Amino acid sequence: MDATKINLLIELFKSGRDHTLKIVDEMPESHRFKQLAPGKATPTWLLGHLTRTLDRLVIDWTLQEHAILSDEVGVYFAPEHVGGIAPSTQASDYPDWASLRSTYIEASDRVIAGLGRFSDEDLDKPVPGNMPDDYRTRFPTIYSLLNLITNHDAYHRGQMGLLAKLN
Amino acid sequence: MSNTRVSLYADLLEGARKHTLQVAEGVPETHRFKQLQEGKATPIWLLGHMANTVNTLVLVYTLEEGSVLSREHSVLFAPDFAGGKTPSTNPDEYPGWDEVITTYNNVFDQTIAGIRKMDDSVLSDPLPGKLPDQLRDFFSSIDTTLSIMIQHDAYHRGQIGMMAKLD
Repeated sequence: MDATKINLLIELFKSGRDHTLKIVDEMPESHRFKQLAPGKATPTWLLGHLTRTLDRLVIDWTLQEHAILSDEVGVYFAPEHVGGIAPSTQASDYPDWASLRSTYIEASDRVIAGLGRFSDEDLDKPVPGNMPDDYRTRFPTIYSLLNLITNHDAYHRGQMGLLAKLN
Repeated sequence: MSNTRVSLYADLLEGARKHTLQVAEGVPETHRFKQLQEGKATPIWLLGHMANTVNTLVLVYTLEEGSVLSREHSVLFAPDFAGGKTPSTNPDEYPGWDEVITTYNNVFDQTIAGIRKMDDSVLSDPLPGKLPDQLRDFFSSIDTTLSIMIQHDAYHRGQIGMMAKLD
């Protein structure tokens, strides 16, 4: 057992990724656009949103690597309070489920590989990339951002799980 | 002797508690028994369930301390598959919202304090308490159990957050 903080954070992230993929694979096709009220999140939106969050917060701002999602696609998965387009049940607005799944895997693989180059000393440093000031207030250190990431996946996975089980 | 991992687990549980209480504060009084379908979880049930799960798995089975929840409340907030009572929208069947919040806080206070006294060397051990045999594969070690608890809290937090925002 590796007794470093960064390793434990990576382990938690990997475990979360596996649980998210299990829910993704068990999501009934009929429920991919299940929506509790107009403008609310659907499983399709949530899966894309998980990828966009990893892409923006970790791959772009923390690892300073090229983002996976273009701005044109990313805006469909951003929350409205940061200028995103409200979730819809219009399938043609979104990439298909298989594409969203593979992009999520690509993003999470890059997160795991990138964080593997970090040490515990890096966790107390500020996020190095071009992160907006309001985010910088919320995430003053790399640790605070990675703490959010481990919670964020499970938070929205719970919502996907809830939607999957409704009639 | 090292406590890097247990210290981080305790910090992550502290962070989980903070975020859950923020989400709980955002649940309108009218939504505490919001139920998407008959028999499905309500915000008050989810909050009690989050307290009950950490209470049972960590406080009782891992730290071998006394249960914060009474036997009656433990059954009330256990899932169906573990012999729990199906969630209902009848407030008479539940403690008050503030009491559930207090219970959640008490469970986390005792759990976090107990974890901080542990050493990393025990994390690979099986749970020392009377965990039912059928759960030993899933909760295979103290380390695995703590990891699951952090994600479990965020998973159901996301569901509370989703229900809180419905009209």
